[in-house]
Amino acid sequence: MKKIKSINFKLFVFLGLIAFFVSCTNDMNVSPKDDDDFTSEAFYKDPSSYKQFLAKIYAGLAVTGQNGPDGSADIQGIDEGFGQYLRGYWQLQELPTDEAMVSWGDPTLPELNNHTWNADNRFVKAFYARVFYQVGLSNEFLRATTDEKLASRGVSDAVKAEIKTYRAEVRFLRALSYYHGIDLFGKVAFATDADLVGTKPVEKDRAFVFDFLVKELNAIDADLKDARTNEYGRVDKVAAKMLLAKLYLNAKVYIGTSKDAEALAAINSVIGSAYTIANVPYSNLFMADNDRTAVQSEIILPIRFNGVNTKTWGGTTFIIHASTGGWNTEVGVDGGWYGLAARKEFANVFSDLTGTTDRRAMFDAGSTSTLTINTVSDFFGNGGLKVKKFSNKTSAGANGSNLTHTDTDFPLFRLADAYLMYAELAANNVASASKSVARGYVNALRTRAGAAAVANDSDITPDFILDERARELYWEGHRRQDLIRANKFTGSAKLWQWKGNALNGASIDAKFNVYPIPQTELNTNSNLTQNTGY
Amino acid sequence: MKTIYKKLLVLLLLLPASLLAQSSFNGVVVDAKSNQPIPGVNVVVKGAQQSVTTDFDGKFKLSKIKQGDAVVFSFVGYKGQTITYSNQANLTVKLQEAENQLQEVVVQVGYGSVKKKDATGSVAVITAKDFNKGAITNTENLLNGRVAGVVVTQGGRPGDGAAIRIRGGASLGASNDPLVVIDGLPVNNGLSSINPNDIESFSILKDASATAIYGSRGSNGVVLIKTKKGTKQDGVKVSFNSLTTLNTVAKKVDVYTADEFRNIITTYVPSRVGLLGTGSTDWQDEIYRNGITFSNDLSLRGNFLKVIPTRLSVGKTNIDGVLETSSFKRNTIALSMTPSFLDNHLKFEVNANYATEKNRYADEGAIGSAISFNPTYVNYDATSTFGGYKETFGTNTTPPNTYTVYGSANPVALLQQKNNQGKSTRVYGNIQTEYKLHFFEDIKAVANLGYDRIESTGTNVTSANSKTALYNAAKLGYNQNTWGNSTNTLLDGYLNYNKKFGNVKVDLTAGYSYQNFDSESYYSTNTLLPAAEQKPDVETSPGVNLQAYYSRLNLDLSDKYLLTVNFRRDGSSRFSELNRWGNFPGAAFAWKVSSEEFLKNSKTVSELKLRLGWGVTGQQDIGGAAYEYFQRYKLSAVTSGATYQFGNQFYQLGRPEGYNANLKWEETTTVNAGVDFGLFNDKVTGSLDVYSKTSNDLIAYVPEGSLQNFRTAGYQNIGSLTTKGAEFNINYKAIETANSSLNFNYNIAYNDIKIKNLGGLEFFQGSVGLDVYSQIHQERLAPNTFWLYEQVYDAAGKPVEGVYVDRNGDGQITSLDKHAFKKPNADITMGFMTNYNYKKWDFSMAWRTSLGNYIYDNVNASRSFLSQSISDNNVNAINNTTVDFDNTLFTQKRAESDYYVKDASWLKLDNVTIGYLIEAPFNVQSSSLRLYSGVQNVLTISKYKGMDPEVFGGIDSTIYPRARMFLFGLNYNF
Repeated sequence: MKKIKSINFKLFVFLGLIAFFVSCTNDMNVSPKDDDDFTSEAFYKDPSSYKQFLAKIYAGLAVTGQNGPDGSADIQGIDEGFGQYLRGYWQLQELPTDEAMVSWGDPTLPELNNHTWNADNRFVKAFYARVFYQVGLSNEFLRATTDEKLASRGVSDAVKAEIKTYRAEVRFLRALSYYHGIDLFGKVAFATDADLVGTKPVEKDRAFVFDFLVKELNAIDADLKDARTNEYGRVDKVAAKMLLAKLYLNAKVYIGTSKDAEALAAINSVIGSAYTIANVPYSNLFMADNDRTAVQSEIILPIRFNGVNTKTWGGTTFIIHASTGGWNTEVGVDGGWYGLAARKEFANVFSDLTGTTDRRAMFDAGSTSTLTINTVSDFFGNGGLKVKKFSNKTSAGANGSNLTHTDTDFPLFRLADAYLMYAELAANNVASASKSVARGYVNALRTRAGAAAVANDSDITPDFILDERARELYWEGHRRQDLIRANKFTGSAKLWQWKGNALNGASIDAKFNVYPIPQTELNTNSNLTQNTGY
Repeated sequence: MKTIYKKLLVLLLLLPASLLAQSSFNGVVVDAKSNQPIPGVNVVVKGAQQSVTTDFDGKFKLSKIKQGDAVVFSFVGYKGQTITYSNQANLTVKLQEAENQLQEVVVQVGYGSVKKKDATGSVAVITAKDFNKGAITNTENLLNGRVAGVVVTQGGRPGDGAAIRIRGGASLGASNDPLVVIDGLPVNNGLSSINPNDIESFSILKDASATAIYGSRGSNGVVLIKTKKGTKQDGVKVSFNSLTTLNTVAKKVDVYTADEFRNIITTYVPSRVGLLGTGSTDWQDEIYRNGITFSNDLSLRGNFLKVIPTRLSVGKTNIDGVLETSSFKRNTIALSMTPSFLDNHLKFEVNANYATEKNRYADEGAIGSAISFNPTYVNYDATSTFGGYKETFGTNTTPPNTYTVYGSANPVALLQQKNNQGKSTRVYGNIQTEYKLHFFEDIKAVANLGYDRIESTGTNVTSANSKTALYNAAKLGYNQNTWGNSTNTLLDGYLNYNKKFGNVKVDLTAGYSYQNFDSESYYSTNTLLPAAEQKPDVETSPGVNLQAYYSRLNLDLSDKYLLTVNFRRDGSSRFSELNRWGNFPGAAFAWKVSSEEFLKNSKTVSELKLRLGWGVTGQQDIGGAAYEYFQRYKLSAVTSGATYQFGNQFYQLGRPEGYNANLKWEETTTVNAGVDFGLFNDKVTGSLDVYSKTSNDLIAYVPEGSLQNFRTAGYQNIGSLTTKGAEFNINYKAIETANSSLNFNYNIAYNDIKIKNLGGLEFFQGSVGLDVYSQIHQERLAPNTFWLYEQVYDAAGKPVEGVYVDRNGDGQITSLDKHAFKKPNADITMGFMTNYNYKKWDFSMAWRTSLGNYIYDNVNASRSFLSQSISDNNVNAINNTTVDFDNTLFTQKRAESDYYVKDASWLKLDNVTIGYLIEAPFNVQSSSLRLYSGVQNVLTISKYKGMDPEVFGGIDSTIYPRARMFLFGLNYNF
């Protein structure tokens, strides 16, 4: 009896010790403790998480992390502000063209002015990382919202119906980033929701991605909302058509074969949609309240910014501050960054820089007499045309909600662009594109701007449309693509100051039609190869 | 604690009464061989309750003694002696060394201790006699330069901690800090809250055979700190230390004077000469001052209630930094009690520490601003709306009272208009219980409970009149509140079995350790902002939980052959269950050659021990990245400024976080061979070690290609790092006579770290601007090697702007032309100290040197050029710069030129002190007063032209200057 007792006691101690160690060992199974931090399971318990994830992917075009204007960055290894989507996109589409130059000397930034960039360019690297960060987020959203996953979480039918639309929008956003990818880099790293996290993406060329995007954009049409029926800021069927139109319009560049007929069909469906040219002064399109006014009817896809709630050092905050000198109070910001200006050749597309004969000429009067830029950087004080197109003032003349971070949305797609895309096809004599219809579209825009109407259909020429696009759409991130499509970006068909690193411009190699794949990407993924010539 | 303190005070007050005794017996105790006085000898009157210890000069005095009393003199390492009192006066007692017992320095080895001569690993012990002298207000400074292979980089900021690197560290992306253990409590909150006068000794474990007992935490070496304890003797020993220093700026950055600046602007920015003022201000003079440090502490040692050896110390340190407005105040209370009961079978060690710190942080942007701010301006400008400080700004017409600010900020305003204060309270300590089983005395059980908690609060206020505190172009001011706390709890338990079988001594230890770290912090953001712009947040850091099972076997064969075998199994919450546990073995063998017959009677070789060690240690400390292994989502806060608008509603952003499910232990294998020697009866002692370390599966923060994860960089186990090195130290007692002693101590270490493998990756380090990096981690190079373009120089030796060597000869300059050019780590570090005592005088001097270390001079690289520096981005501002502009005349920032990599080898005379001892001052017997004076940070010799070549990390981007201190202090013991 006694013996049993002592055995029991030992057993008790032994079990006690085991229980002690097991409970201690469990202490190593940690989970997040912060109220902003969740495990996957905990995150998706809340049905609103899906929209928060969707918001993140949209916001990927606007902010750089989980804190605005900076902090908890999405992308590591680059300056957070440099890694903002729009800033990267804008710089790569505008700086190498006659529309813009930057005065700052940040290493590798001046190289975008004068076509001396290489695979080390930090701004190329930053944008590349951002494009594919978007794709990665989108893939994850699609993986996390499959029917099986939703069923396993017991998501309600109402939420499931919403998620169906979200998924189509996410596929659109993924397509948008891939489109930017092939436009700027040619071939891209490619992965879809079918691939697992942690695997190295494969390389796909423009033709493959082009086909993929066309299929995707057609496939999501049914699930996207009708024109202007979605919440403002989210995409609808028209945005997908617009993207499709852009792909087709540039098909010759992307895949070597024109798809003008398909482009025309897509453009017609955009123009025929519920979107209309905003009947407001041209300048209102680029002001702090451009998400609240009649401007909305023209904007097919904005990137939304807000001085209090959606803050970044990129975006329109960058465009407005960087283009501003001592006239900061005029555009509603607390200081100029003395950075961006346009070149002499762009000034020449306007017959008059004062804005009297064309209100789209929104320039600093003091700069119109010193258009020549004498040095690649540090020229802001003594050269270049200073642009005041974007502003943090409201159309009523009040300041935006914050003087450092702007409220102004960026019109990524707007109907006026579709008008001019139509006109371009007409100018190129594409079957079923009418020059007189085109002239009507062009004049609709010109009239709004107080510019003289185009009198004859014969004036609708490719060169005129290229210039008209510059007048209407300058600084909206189109110029490089437009010049490439017109075969005027590389070579010597068109010269502008500092093209090819020569004051009055010089021919540049065709390799500059695409940017190099960043060296760091080649280092971290052996599936990728460099673009020709770099 | 308060009551104990009171009781001790009472005890202190009673003390003088016992000193007022009648007949007394005094004398001096000396070493029989050297005639050197021996301090600290126990002198006990047998059968009476009277005991004293000898003072610094070996002197003792017994009162109330009667003839025939037996007086026992005893001291560790010496044979005891008993003398019968017969009215002797001024007796000289000569104690004989006990054979083989001298030099019984005890080394803490983690979960136990061994005698130094029985240590099998590479272990350095630093006790009071080895400590640095001079202006010591922080703990790390006691050992700076004293141990071969241990590099301490002390900051200049008042109260600044120091970075300690043992053998250069072992990791790339994980921590390189050594594990610090205070009286058995591993801490990770630094040592700044410790009063250096509470430190008894440091044991520094350098090789893995020694550190493997700390397994996962031993890769970067271990610093074991033992604090001072009470004594078993009666009476209370009081010690009072006081230090006052005058702190001055040793060197300023060389910038242009106002007149030189006028020339620069006239020559290079003629369009802006209108911005020149008429003043002449050296802004560095305006921001620096002479600071004063007061540091006082009082300690009481005794046997509380005659059963509890107790030490209580109270310390107070106030430092006014050399940069205006910066200050540091620290109060410490340390209590240690070490009672033993049941005939020493049950021992307790209680260490309780309480420290408060109060910091006022200066805006160190002022240091850079003082270089840049226009020297032709004067400080005050009656028309300035910004508190009357000269600033560059424009006044907007609409809306009224709004301003457009540009250019550098006035450095004086930066300091005076800000008040950034932090307070912290730290409570830490442990209770260790040691129980020797009554029925089985060879076994003892030790349990150790520890606790370390820091609570801090802060307020950061900027005046509404500050140029830096505008909001929407209008004056607002800044007001931020913060708090934080971190808690570290420890539970340790082990069993130790110690027995001698014939010639074999067995010492076996096995135990378990549990430690948990938690912290949270709060910041309010600017409370003056509109509510919608404020984003107060409590951040709860991921806790870290570490657990381990450990064991060690020491075998001693005939006191000649020593074998140590360690094994530890560690678990960390930073890894998934699959990778959670790591095994870390270690083994060491030592041969005490001097115990062999052929050397036993040698007159030359008094000690000789050969050591060989091997061990594997782990690393898991990747800072806050505690959840690397599973996928999480983060939600941006409603007020984060990162929400996105659909329609009219803003949505929080839900972001999937990058992760690495496969993250696992980094492992470091070390092989160490060493020899410890003593010559001529240990007149010369020293040791030599050579080692080789290889860290595999490095936990490194590496770039990840796009689309591979939800990030572009993250932690991965990648590659390996190797370190080879050698260390030598020697101590020479040149003079040892009754009147004087002269001691030289010298150490030298060579260390060579290379990245062996990085999986073909390379990644940039050392940010020197937006997306501009100066260093690289690359295979076959030292970590953080400078990686820049090779500058081309003209015939006159001046750098040609923007012209670099086309190293790969492809006709263009791309990043492929960058080259590895020097590294920040030193090849060789040395320390030298000499102590000389002559009668009552003492003199000490300590030097350190570092060779082969290079600096990237970012003070110049970020300023010394025209565009966007001298010629401000804003056309209404101009900025001063460093005189290096004379050498370059760069128009652009050329941060990627290797021109800025400079040889920063240095030799420093850290301190010189001289002291004088007064015995029995104020006619109080058995007391002593030492007065000392000296200079700290006396001299720096270096080719580097910047402020200070000793820069941690190798990038000099203006540092808080290390003050030159003129010091006066006293130590009073009674």
